[in-house]
Amino acid sequence: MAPSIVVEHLSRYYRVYRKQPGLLGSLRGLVHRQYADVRAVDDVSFTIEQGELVGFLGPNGAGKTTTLKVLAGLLHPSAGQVAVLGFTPWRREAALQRQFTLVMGQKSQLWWDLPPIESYLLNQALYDIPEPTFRETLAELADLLDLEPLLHIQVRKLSLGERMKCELAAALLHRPRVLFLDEPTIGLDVVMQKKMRDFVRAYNQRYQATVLLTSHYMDDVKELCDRVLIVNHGKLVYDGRLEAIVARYADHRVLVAAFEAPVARQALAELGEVLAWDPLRATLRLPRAAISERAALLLERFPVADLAIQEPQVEDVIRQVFGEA
Amino acid sequence: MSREQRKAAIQNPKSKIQNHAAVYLACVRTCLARELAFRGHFLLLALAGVTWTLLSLALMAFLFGRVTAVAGWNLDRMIVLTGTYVLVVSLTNLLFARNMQHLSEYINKGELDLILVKPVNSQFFVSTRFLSLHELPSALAALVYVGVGLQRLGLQPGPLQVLGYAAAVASAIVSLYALWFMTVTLVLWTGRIENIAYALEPVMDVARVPADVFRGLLRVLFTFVLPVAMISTVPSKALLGLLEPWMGIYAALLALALLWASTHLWRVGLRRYSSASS
Repeated sequence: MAPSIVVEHLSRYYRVYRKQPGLLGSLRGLVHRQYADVRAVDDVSFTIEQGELVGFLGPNGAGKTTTLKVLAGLLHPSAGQVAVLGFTPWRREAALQRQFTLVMGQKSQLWWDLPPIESYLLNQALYDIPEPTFRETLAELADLLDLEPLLHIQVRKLSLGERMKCELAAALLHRPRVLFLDEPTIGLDVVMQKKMRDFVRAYNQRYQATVLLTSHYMDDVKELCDRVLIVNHGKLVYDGRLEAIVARYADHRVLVAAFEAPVARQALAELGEVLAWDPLRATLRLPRAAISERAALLLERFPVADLAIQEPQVEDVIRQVFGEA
Repeated sequence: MSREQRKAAIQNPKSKIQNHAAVYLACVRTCLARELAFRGHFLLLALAGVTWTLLSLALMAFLFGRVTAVAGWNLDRMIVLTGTYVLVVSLTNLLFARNMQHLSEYINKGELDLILVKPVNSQFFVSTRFLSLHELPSALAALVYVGVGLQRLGLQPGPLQVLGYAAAVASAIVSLYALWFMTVTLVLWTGRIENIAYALEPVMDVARVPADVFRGLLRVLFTFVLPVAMISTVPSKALLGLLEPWMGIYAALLALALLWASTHLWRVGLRRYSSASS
């Protein structure tokens, strides 16, 4: 089967106005403006197969949203080729638009003054969804997201989490085969984040939908995505399995020790970098190759009550990847 | 529906029109639901609209207490003209005012993104999504004006005149919409213009008086360039049987030309939008 998304050497530059600081700078800007070219996306290539759930990671301004906007047909690329379900997205053909959806955590398509059901009916008309299909899909979504009590309440009276659930349902009524989710969990509490994740996974499995998801929350990506794309400064720095990158970049382990009697920080520093310390407890960062030797030394030299060796956190690894790029 | 069927549905213009009609119907339904949800708001605005309509009549009656006719327009003809003016303006507001106010917001807040990914003509959708149904009483009051004016004149327009009137009113609404839409579309270039949605109001205000009162350059400007004469003078003359046919045809052509220009400007603006932002 043909891949859902093919991106080849995608670049996207845009010009920004460089405002000089202060009042004088503002005045100067009226007459003579200085522009700078920003490379939001720089020669990025990847392919996503149908049914894949891929996480898109990167710090703010790395080019995640810009890439998603190109894929959704909102932006023209400066260079490169893109195909979504075989279509060129920025031609904005209805035949493609009926098959994908875009959810932006900070933007709303729901009608503020009206209950969500009204927006759903509008989308039914927009996507030309036959009545039986519409009712069936809405029932399914309402079930998966616990929407039933929210359908008839004005959107403005919903909490952020409730609104996001309704927002997702609005975006999925036409049963899209490709989902672009830009920060779908932003601002949500931990419980609601988990609900949204469970839902995205369920939708992905039920409809074999392709999902490309950006998030600031590492948990979203850790729990949902087998594969991650990591971008930094517009460049793709990693494309592969999440565990693989953790293994590749994890050249250290974290050792946590508790002591029966107070231990001096300096004495511990001889073994490795001390990340945290109080006289009865310490966290050390040790090279992976030397871990057993150092642990043995620790047991020998100090009154160790308890000892644990931990895998590094994905967050730390990713931070390290960004640091290098 | 299979992809082939979908493609066929999209390429078949008849079903495309049906589709847009269905979208429009859904918008009307939703607006009705909204107006009914905010009954007090609806009544207040409707009352304000009708009061404003009555005031414009009072102002005119006051003026005609001093003069009998202006450029061939006596009080009774002026009642027809004022009614027509209010009819055109309130119908234009009913159909487009809220959409034009929202459009600049969409662009500024980036909400246009979520509209552009929908399988619908974006200009159609951003222009027709909202209705201001509270304008309806003003439009009805305006029709009463026109009727009163005709009665005082002792005129009973034939079907041709009524048809001409309807066509001229429709042309006026299309022209006003196109101008309004183009004004707001400029936000795609400039980023932010506060209150751009109201920029057209002074132009519309000029149509409170018949275009015949203007002379020289102003008359050319208001008749041929800005469709001010089209708003009230041309439809009123059509109804009163005073319109030269070429003027009616010109009004219709101008409406189509402005509409075409507005779709063109929107396309160019969107191209810029999708190449200039990030």
